[in-house]
Amino acid sequence: MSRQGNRAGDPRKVNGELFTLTYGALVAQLIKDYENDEQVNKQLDKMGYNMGVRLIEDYLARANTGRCNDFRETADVIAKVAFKMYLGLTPVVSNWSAAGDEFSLLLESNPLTEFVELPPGHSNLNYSNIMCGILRGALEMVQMDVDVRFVQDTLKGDNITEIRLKFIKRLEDAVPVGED
Amino acid sequence: MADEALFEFLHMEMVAHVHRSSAKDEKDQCISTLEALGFRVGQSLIERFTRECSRFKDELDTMKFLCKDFWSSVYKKQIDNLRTNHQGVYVLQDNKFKFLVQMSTGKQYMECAPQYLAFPCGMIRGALSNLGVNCIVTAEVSAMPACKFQIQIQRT
Amino acid sequence: MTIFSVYIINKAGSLIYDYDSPSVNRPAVEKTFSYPLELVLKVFDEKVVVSFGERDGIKVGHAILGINGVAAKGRILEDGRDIMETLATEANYPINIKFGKPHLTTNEKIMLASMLHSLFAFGSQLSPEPNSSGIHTLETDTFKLHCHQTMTGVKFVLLTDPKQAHVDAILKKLYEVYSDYALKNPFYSLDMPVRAELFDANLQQVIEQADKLGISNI
Repeated sequence: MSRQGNRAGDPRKVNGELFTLTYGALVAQLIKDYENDEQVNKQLDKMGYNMGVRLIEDYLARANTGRCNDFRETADVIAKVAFKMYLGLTPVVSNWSAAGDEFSLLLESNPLTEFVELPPGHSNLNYSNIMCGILRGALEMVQMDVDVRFVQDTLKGDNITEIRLKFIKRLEDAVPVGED
Repeated sequence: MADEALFEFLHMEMVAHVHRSSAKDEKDQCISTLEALGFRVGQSLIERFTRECSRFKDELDTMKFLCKDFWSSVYKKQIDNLRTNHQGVYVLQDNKFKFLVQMSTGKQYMECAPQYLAFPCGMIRGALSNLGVNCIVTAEVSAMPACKFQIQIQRT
Repeated sequence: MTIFSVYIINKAGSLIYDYDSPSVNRPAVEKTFSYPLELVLKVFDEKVVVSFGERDGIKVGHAILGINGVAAKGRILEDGRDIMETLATEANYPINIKFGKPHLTTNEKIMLASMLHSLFAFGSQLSPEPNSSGIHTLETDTFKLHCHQTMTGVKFVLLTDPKQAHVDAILKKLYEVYSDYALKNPFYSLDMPVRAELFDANLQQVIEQADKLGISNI
């Protein structure tokens, strides 16, 4: 056989197109299942949350990162380690609020939306909302209550995709005692 | 390129969602929804995988492509065994099927296996349909994580 | 180099997994008795234990582990016979009884796990410096307890021989097994006991390899 497809590569990585297309099929299914975009957004966030709370353990078990000292460090780790590890890209951290409790992740390309064009009549749909859920779920497991949302999306004609993370509070009750 | 953990969790959530949104006794409905999702993904995927390859000589050639190239692109491994009765039935055996590897190596959870195989079955059907082969795909598991996909060609 | 047990405790302090290595030899005394039995036995906490009559290495507090080669499961034998009744019947004599230190029951393990969870917190409270970690190791003459707490609050507890080396690597490996085979298993719900055969198998593999080959090979 002369056909040598795009196999090889890191055994831990799945084909990017497979991931993107599967996600697309899922979103399409949700649009069918729910009446309006808000409900779809909510459902995507919820599914992301469920993924995030499990994904964090995979992340911690594999990446050798210690606990972050502050939110700035968290931002760096999310962008440079976590995104790199799971999506193979590194978003830019910017737009810090004066208090240092809010920042944005800027994505020039979003693998989830690679082949996507929003159908008309879905202007409120946050197509990649699952990312917000994943980040929220994962951060909650390391005792940070964070609000995550999309503020810009290339799908909606913006120049860049921007995810805004706002630190709400440290979940003191959940902090394991005797943290290293 | 996405990490496999991300994809596995996505698949898990997808199965869970379809399961939740269908009523209790509609197990078949749930399976066919997942199958349809897989069909769409398979259709688009094969389009991209066959971009740079020559035409297939015959049906068997198509199957070999599925077992080798398609499978390695999607599951990072090839099919372990391909058998056919030369009358339109092909059996593809994967001894370590990706969606089952993390689940069990025996009989545990056996009754739940079908819902995790519907999506892959749909993908095969979608891929083949886009190559002009109409078929029915079913999966059979006797001991996880091994899995047999049976492809029955529909001739009209 | 031996690993005796593995416990996993969730962030609320409940035991979600326990594993005792079968290769550990628990000292046991076997002796054949004739009727009537000179020992005084009583049922305590679902086990038959010696309450009076120390002799030949059989100590007060030892439990009956087996009769005539049939292992005991709590107050009954594996073949379903009640231990106290069996011992009260003259026709069963002479009889061979195996005594030894009782195994921990699941309930006891759950209790100890939640105690360890509190003790861990205690460690950091006692510390003169703020932000001290909890207890990492607890050492006795016969074994060493190692505890690793993940950032999400899950504790991995390992009981090993005091001389066991590279425990950190083993604990890390166990965390990987947990994240791979418990959390990636769609049927596992977070914070609940882990009951998946595949997880058992992989965990045992890590332990066995660490026992046999040393850590460099796992």
